[in-house]
Amino acid sequence: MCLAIPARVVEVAENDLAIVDLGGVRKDVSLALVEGVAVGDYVIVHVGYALTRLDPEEAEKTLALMAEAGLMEQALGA
Amino acid sequence: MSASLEGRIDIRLTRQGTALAGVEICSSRPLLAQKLMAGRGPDEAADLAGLIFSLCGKAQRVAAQTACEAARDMEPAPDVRQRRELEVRVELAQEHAWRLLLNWPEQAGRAPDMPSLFKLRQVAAEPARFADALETLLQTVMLGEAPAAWLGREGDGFDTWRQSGATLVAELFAGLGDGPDTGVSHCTLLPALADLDDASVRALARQALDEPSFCAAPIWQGEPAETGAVARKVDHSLLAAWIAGRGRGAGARQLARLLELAELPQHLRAGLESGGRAEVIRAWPLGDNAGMAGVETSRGLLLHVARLKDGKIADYRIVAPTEWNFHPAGPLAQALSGLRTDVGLEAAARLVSQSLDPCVAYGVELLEQ
Repeated sequence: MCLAIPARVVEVAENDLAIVDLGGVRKDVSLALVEGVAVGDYVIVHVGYALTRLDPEEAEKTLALMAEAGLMEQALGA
Repeated sequence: MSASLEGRIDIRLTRQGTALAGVEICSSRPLLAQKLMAGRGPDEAADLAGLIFSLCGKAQRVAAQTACEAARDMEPAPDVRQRRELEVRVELAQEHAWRLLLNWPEQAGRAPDMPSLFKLRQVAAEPARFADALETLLQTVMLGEAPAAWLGREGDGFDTWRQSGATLVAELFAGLGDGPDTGVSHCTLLPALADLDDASVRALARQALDEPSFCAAPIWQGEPAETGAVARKVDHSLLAAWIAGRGRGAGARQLARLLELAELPQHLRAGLESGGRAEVIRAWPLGDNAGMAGVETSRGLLLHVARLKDGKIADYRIVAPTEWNFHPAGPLAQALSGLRTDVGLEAAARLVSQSLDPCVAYGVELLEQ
């Protein structure tokens, strides 16, 4: 069900492209649907497109909730 | 990683000479509802649902709120209900626009229209501005004329429009040709929310609560069923004409999306003025501290069932649209079984899968025997 796992932006390139890090795995994503994304921000990604920008505080809250619900261990293959 | 957590849908076609010998649909989508929600209070459950679902977060949050209210035999205040109806419709519109301006063009080898999608997202928090932006988008980018005029096209009017190539979307419809639709399904259509009767709803809720496998492969009155815009708009004259002439396939599903999108500015404005009739959200108190919510989303009917104990969630189930449409013997399986096998089988399989719009990544594999 399209889970909204925050991914950290590690590089912003030209043409609305960026690289995100999700639990140590890096992925290329498009930033065409969000604005004002900087390195260090978190984004919610769906099939290659960043859908929402989160500031680090919001992202940490989300990640903590997901961890509490036992999702992140599963997400990280633990 | 996130893919393994979300799950994915793997579609495997087996071709034997010129015949399609096998169609397999394997979903690894996990059933997370019970694990996520059990032990939480209703407000906490709603916040969590809104937070963790990326594409339909508003619908999931509203469904959780509504199911828990129904379990407690409560009703929301009119202004709360109105706000929820608007939020659900705005989310639905964005998802429809995404299919028509991004996924479909990409599949057809055309450039997606990202600036238009971006403009819609910018005003998503303000339903009145969103309605205006959507109307402008429909008129200038998608239809090439006012939505009301387009919706009023009859007889050959739709074919004239698509053959005119006035817009990218018109060209995409023209690209489907004049023959039978691709990926036709004859599956029963799940009734629209407004047409669901209480006895059927109770049966659905009971199955969801009592049968662990039901939420992964739901059935309606003994059979798999198709849900989505095509089920909601099947009686619209343009769609009915398409289906009568070509069958209910990928083109019909895209047309249904476009019809709903074209009607949405008007529906949003009516919702803002009237306080909003309950059209995309319904609640059913089931007794014994249990309740069910139904919410219409872009992909189809989303159901949440909650049973509370001492104010906390004891049992929670989600029956999501993807599970209806990607049922191993459901609409997709039927649609794939009817594809021509001589040319373009994989591309057609992707077109059909996308028309049913799974909310997770999917892959198509063709095996030769």
